[in-house]
Order: sequence, then C-alpha cells, then structure tokens
Amino acid sequence: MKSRRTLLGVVLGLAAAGVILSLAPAQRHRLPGGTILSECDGAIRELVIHYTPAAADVSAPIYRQFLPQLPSDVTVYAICPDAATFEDLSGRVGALRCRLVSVPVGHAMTTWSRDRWIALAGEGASAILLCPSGELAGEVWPDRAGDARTGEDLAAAVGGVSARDGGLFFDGGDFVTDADAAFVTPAVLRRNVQRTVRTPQELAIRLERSAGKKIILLTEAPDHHGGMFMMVAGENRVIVGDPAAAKALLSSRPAGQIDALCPPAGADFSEQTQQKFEAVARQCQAAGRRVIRIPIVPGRDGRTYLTYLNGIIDSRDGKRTVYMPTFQGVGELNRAAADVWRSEGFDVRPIDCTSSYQHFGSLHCLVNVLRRR
Amino acid sequence: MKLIDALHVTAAAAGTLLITLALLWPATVDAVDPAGAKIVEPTLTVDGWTVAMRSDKPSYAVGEKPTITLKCSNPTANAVEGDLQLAMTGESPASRMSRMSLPPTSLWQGNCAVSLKAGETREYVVPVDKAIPANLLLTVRLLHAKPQAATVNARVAVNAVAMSLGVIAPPKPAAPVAARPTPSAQQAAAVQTPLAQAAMPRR
Repeated sequence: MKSRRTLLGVVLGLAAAGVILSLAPAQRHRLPGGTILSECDGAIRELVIHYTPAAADVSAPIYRQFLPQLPSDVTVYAICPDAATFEDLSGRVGALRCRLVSVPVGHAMTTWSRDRWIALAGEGASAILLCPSGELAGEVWPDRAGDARTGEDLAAAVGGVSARDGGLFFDGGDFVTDADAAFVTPAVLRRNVQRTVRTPQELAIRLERSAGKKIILLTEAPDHHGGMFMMVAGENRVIVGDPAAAKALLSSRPAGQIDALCPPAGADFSEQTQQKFEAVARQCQAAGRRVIRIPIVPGRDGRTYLTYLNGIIDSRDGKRTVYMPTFQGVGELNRAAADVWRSEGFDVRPIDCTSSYQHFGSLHCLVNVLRRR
Repeated sequence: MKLIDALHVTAAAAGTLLITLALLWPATVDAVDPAGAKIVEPTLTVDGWTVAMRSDKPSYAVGEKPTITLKCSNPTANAVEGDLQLAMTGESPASRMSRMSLPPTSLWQGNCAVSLKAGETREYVVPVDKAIPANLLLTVRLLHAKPQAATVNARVAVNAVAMSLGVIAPPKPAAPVAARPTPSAQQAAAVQTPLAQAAMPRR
C-alpha cells in the first residue's frame, strides 16, 4: 500500500514536471539581455564618440558641425585618452546645447566609436553593450587594442550601462537595424563560421538570441560595413546605394576628376561592384522592405566610399531627421542624395565628412548611439 | 488514514517534481553560453566527408613557412575523391587612422587531391611555400569548389572554411598600450587566433 502511494506520487510528480518542462523552451529562447537599438526609431538620448589627438583632423571637423545641432536633452559621452584631450575637443566644438561628458580612459584608441559595440536596450532605461570577442589586429595595433576596452570603460563610467562579450567576432558597423530586424554583413559570416560557430544557421540563432531581434544575414554585399552601402529609414524602408546613379550624375566630368574622388585607386563603377549593391537591394526586398536607391561612389580599393547612407537618424516629435554626410567638390551628388532623403520625409542636415571618408568612414562610423527614447 | 495517504502521495510527487526539474531544467542545460565556445579546427564538410584543417604551430615567426594538415574522414559507404584548394591571404590597415583594413590580398595558393576509401580517415600535409611576411594579418582558406549542376552560367558553388595564423612579432619598442589580457589569453588557445605583428604604417 505504501509503495503504491509512493508510485502514485512519483507518477504525479513526473507528470507535473513534464508539463512544466514542456513550457520551458520559451525560457530557453528567452532573450538574455535586451534588444538591439533601431537606427531609425526613437529620439536620440545618449551618443558616444571617441576623440584622440592623433585623429583630431579626421573627426573634429565633423564633431564641430554635428554636435552643435543636437538638442539640449541629448548627452554625448566623449571617450578620450585623458582630460587634456577632452579639453581640446571641448574647445574645438564650441558652444553646445547638448551635454558633453568626458570619459577619460587612460589608453589609446581609434576615433571610430561605431564598431566597438552594439547597444541593446535592456530592462527599464538600462543599456547593454554587446562587445565583440576581439578586435581585428588588436594584438599589434595599440589604438585598436584600446578600442577593445572602450565598451568596458563606458560601462564603468555611465550608470545603467553594462558591457558583455558577445562571444563572436564582429564590428558594430556590420549591423544595420530597424524596428524589426538587424541586417548583418557577410563579414560576420566569414569571421565566425567555423571559428566561433559551425554553421550560418547557428550564427543566426546566436545573433538573434544576443540581439533580441530577427537577423537577416546578407550573403552577398559590398565588402564594407553595412552603414556604408545601406541604411534603414523606418516604416519598412531601406535605402541602398546605387553607383550607377552617381556615375550618371558625374557623367559630364573627365574620368580623372572622378577617380580623384576616391584616392588612391579611383572610383569603382564596374558592373561587378554594381551587382553587389543590386544583391543588397534584392535581399532587402526579399525581407519585405521597400528599397529606395541613392547615389554612391565606391572606391576601387573597396574601402573609400562617398556615401550618403553613413548618417545618424533622429526621430522625435513625429519628425525624422537625418544628419547626412556630404563631401566637398561633388555638389550634384550632395543635392541628389539630399533629395532622396527629403522625398522619404526626412529633414536633411548636411555634415561635411570630407575629412574622414578617405579613412574609410563617415559620420555613422564616428558616432555610436547608446540610448534612445 | 486518507489524509496520511494524500500527504504521502503529495510528498512523493513534490520530491519527484523537484528532482526532475533540477535534472532537466533547460536553463541549466543552456547555462553555459555557447558564446565561450571556440572551434579549434575549422572543418569543411563535402558530400558527407569532412576535412579538418590545422596548422603545425599555434604561431609563427616572420620568415617561417607554415605547414597545413588536412585530416580527411570519410564515414560514408562509398569511396570519395575531391580536389581541395588552399589560399593564404594577408591584410593590414591602410594607416593608423583607418577604420578597417584593406581587402585581403592573395599570398599563396595550393591544391590537395583527396582520395578516400569508404570509412577511411587520412591526413594530408600541405607545406605552404611562402614565408610569413611582416605587417599582415594572415588567413588560410580551405575551399572545395565544384560546378553547380543546372545553373545557367555554370556558377561555382564554393564551400569554404578559414583560419587565421598567429604570427609572433619580433622585439619592438614598448607600445603605449598593451592588448587586453583576458581575451588575448582566451584567443591564444585557439588555432584561429588573429595575430599579426609590428607597428602599422602611418599614412
């Protein structure tokens, strides 16, 4: 009789455990931290920039145009090697409405804030910095080695911010994210499949769990960061670069003048490169996005781009503003690109990025968004 | 009596429930985040047989020539043949100001013809006939390329894996910043550790 009661209890216990465990898969796939920020939704609350004396000529002209335009409710954390460097930055950017906060870290770094981490919106107003497992060439490039530390530096300096190793190799610029999904460049596939994960499918699952959003792995794209060749615009729209459009706009210029835009190798209007942009457009369409095209001049070196996509989008009071890169000497491209953004309802604020694009990045590459409202 | 029975059954059920959940709770299974896992030997799968690639050393000095070993395993019931291609590429930042390195350039290419009986495992050693150069981040890619059937343009389906070669830098003046110790130590344990050497050129 006693053993019967025990057996009945065990059966009931197993049944109850079975019911509970059947519900557990939701727990297994529960996103562990937060949700990757959209590039195009929400008002900017906090930004992060790097500033170093060595790269002052690259970044300061851009910060001097961009920072004074930010509203008073925006805080900009300036990660600098030391307090003197921050003072130098403060002097260069002039009077600001936004709050500029020094984060002295005591080590070298590059000026490119975007690639160091991906911001996730956590519980409440908290932010989680998803950091790559390592920086490419960080072991031998002191500035890049310092880059690998800035996520932790920021978390230590700013309340409500934590940093964690994402367990994968990536640059923040490899992700372009809207409200529903993150588009991820093929570089992340190359850097991780058979290194940190076995298959692209495993990578997608890992990324989805980390980023808290659907992941769209681009299988074909220009070999560059995502924000150089595409940008999300909200309301299911993606803007993708179109070299052919830029070529047509520049057609009255001599070839040498066009090549001089992308030193040292010249502009790349080849069919092969055009097809990579077309592939991106097709993949975005397949993901259900409406694709809009914008002129772009890619360089034959695969890195130097005149791109109007590498901007920062701020959505507030029902209005979307794009801080759009512009470049000296290409007024026809600047105007055409601004028209594209305006036709999609954006207020366009041009930021001259002539000082930086020959180092393979523009505004979006210099500025990372920590929190949005 | 009935109350005692009910209490006995409840106690047995509760105990069983707790033990079962403790053993099988999925969060426990998932507690170790795969984020920490690193694949030491990149493995290519070709029509059911596999090729695991490894280098003879975890890191090299400038001027050394690496040797790549391909461990080929054929668990299928049929003999297989394949032509594997290897390529070593190098890349480096254009300047200290660069946001990213320039696209990789080809440094060496090689081939390895593989023939395996059913169930056979065999190692092929491929010497890289190229001395490790300075100032480059090195990657070895292993590819199996075969024409894709029924494609209009006879495109080639490429199945590839890659690993980075660690390179030990020659002595150099103290850098202003040392690499973050923890990740470097973790990465050093993996064959695919990306390591290059020497200071980057400044534009």
